[in-house]
Amino acid sequence: MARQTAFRAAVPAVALVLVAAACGGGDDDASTSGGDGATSIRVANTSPTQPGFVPAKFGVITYGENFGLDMTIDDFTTFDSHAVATQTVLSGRADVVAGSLVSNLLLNEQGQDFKLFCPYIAQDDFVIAGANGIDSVEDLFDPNTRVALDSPGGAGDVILNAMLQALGQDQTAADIPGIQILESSGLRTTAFASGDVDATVIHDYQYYEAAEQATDPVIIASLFEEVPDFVKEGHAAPAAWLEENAELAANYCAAVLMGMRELSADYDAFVGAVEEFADVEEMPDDETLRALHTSAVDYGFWPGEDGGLSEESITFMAEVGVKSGLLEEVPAYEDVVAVDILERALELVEEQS
Amino acid sequence: MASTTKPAAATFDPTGPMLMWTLRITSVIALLAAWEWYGRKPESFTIAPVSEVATAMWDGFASGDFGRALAGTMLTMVVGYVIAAVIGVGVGLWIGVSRYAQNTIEPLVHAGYATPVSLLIPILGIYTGLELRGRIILVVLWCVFEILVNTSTGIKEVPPALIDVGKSFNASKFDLYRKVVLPAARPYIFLGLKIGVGRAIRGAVTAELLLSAANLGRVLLGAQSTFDIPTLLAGIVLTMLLGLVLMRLASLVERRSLAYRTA
Amino acid sequence: MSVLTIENVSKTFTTKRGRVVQETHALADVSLSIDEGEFCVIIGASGCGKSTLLRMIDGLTAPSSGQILLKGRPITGPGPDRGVVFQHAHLLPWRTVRKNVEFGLECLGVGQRERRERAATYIDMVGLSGFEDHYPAQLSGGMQQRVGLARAFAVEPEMLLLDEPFGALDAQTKLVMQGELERIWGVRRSTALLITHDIEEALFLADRIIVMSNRPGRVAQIVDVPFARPRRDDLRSDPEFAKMKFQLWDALKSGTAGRAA
Repeated sequence: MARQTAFRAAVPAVALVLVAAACGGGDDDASTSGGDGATSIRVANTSPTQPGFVPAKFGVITYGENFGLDMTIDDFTTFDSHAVATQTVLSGRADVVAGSLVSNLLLNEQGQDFKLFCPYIAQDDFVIAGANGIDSVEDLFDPNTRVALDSPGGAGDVILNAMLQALGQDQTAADIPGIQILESSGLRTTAFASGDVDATVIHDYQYYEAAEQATDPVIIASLFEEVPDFVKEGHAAPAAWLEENAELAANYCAAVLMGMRELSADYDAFVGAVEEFADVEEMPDDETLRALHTSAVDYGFWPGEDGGLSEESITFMAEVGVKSGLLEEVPAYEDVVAVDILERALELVEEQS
Repeated sequence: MASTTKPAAATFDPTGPMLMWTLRITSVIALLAAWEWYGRKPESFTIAPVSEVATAMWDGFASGDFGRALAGTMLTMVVGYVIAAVIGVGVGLWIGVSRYAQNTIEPLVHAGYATPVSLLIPILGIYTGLELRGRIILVVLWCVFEILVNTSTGIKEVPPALIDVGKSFNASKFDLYRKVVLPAARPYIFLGLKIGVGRAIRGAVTAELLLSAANLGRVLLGAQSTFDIPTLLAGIVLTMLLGLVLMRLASLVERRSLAYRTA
Repeated sequence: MSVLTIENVSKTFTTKRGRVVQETHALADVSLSIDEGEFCVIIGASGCGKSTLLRMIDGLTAPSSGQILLKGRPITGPGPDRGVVFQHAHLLPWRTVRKNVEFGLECLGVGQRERRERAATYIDMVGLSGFEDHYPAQLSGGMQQRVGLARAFAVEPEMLLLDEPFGALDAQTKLVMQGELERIWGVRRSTALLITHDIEEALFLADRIIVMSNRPGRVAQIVDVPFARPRRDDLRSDPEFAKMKFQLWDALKSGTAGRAA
């Protein structure tokens, strides 16, 4: 009896060990994709494709062929966190992560040698919204002001810090005394609308929804207006993989840049791309899409012309990261961006047009 | 048969527990070693080695963060659980006893029981508030139905024969419920209360993740968004340990109070 | 003097299955009376309504027609003047032996000290001294039924109602318990009504046996049992005992003839 129990107790442990070993072992077969003659890249997205995020998929599917790519929509997989997407690349089940730039810098600092090589989406339509008499950045630091924000290091936190820095504020989100952590922007919008908080960081369309209910609502600052250097998300891959697959990566990025150029120039194409590629339950109305498109074009959401990822903007983002307490120091530009690949991609685009 | 196997079992006895413990300890060590080995592989990013997780756990407690988070989560959980237990047992008794309640309240309870509470969080948040009160209400919603349904089932499942016994011995209506129905329903009620403990923990942590982040939920979210994997895993392990300890405790209380069944 | 009088009692159960209403005639026109200090046994095949009759005497169900009088007063519900022993003992499993025996006394509002004393007396009487703090789950079936007896005796009822009390026991235990009941009953000789389908049990315990026929239950025959008390196990080998057993078997058979089989 005792023996049986003991064996039974040991079974789960042994099983776990075997599973872990199997996972570890399996990596080796899968990790060597790409290489010479490869025509496709497996992309791990870290969040669902919002309407503003469509140019990358659109470009790759539409113009991929022009650059010798053979990719379908199945080559893109959406994960619900940057960590999981990164693990997928490390385990050899994807090649490239499309995700938050600051997260990429943080990963790099933690010793994961990932390099940015292509833009994904540069800007965001986040705004600092205030109500109940809160109408300035200084008001956020009043102990009586209730401010809703996501966790330190989250998208909203980074965006708020970027805006604070651009507006010349010395303090960061961590210094806000009345902070309340609400992870989802939807819940922040609800809290803002119902008066549970006095200020928050949300999408501008969420602000307009909430403004109908909130008392004295006001947009204190808007990211794309205040922070032209902001870079929200980019494509990154392990440096070793990029070295081996430089041309493939450049071809991929060229298709992305083409998509950005095309959608910037053509509103109808953008609407079609949203219909086809965005992970939305229902199509936004024409007014919303048109406003988004206008902002995207005016404020460089899709840096198809120069590729974005300039030294200036990366340094700015790194400084935001340092000020937020996420990063230890501002990294050397060449250590985090594969400039040669981005430049090669721009060349390829020029050759085409 | 029995007489021939018994002595054989007796000769195993001295080695039995030893063997069992040896195997148990070995398998735990093997598991930890495998974890360490896997975590140290350069390509494992979401699994940190167990040594780093242990360090993060130590740091977490040394800095007081984990202690405070644990206390906060337990406070939310305990307050919510006690409210849910009172409501659940009370309304459950009422439904079990009263035809009126059976017709009016029970359908609502079943609808509530089947609804995934997490779906309601964004809507509920508006009415419950996003801070402690909201979290406590979520914990209550998370576990009250389990307790309630088990209690009313327990009342309905009381053997009619025992009720006859009570009536035959002239129990008043009050005595009948207090001395026969309630004790007879106790195994169900305790089962509901035990399952409720597990659900209360899940409710507390979920509320801390999805409403205003706080306590253990805040530790987990913060670690996740800064890629502090060792702290994230330490937080998860801590949450699991909390669940394990409280469930064990609940089982112990249940076994103690229902000892008469197997005595 | 008659303690219990049953006058023209009938019982009909109505069951509804959807729209189909079904009526079962459990008892038809049963009349009998039981004298003070008498040990009366009702015997009949299963389904003859004898348990229904006992439940009516206990006051758990009411007759459809006719009436039952206890000391001249109609029965409207359970009362402290009757103590019941159930077929499966039906002890309260969360109570110890002592607390089970005290249960009826608690319900009557008897003070704690007196409860203790009376429980001790009756636990001793049924031979369970030393088991006071055991839970039912720790007792054998026979021991559980001893507790059941003590619980019924403890309220010191004027009339003892026993509903096939040994029906669930194995053959040997059953014989032992019959002897025990004869012995315990002999101490006070309060009026007792026992229900059984066991002919030998009926003969061994009864002053008078009422044989009931089947569906609907009627009184088929009433048999006086002449054996002197106290009765011992050797009575079972008495030729007269065997003869009466045979007679009763005949009576039971004719009671069920043509309906069952």
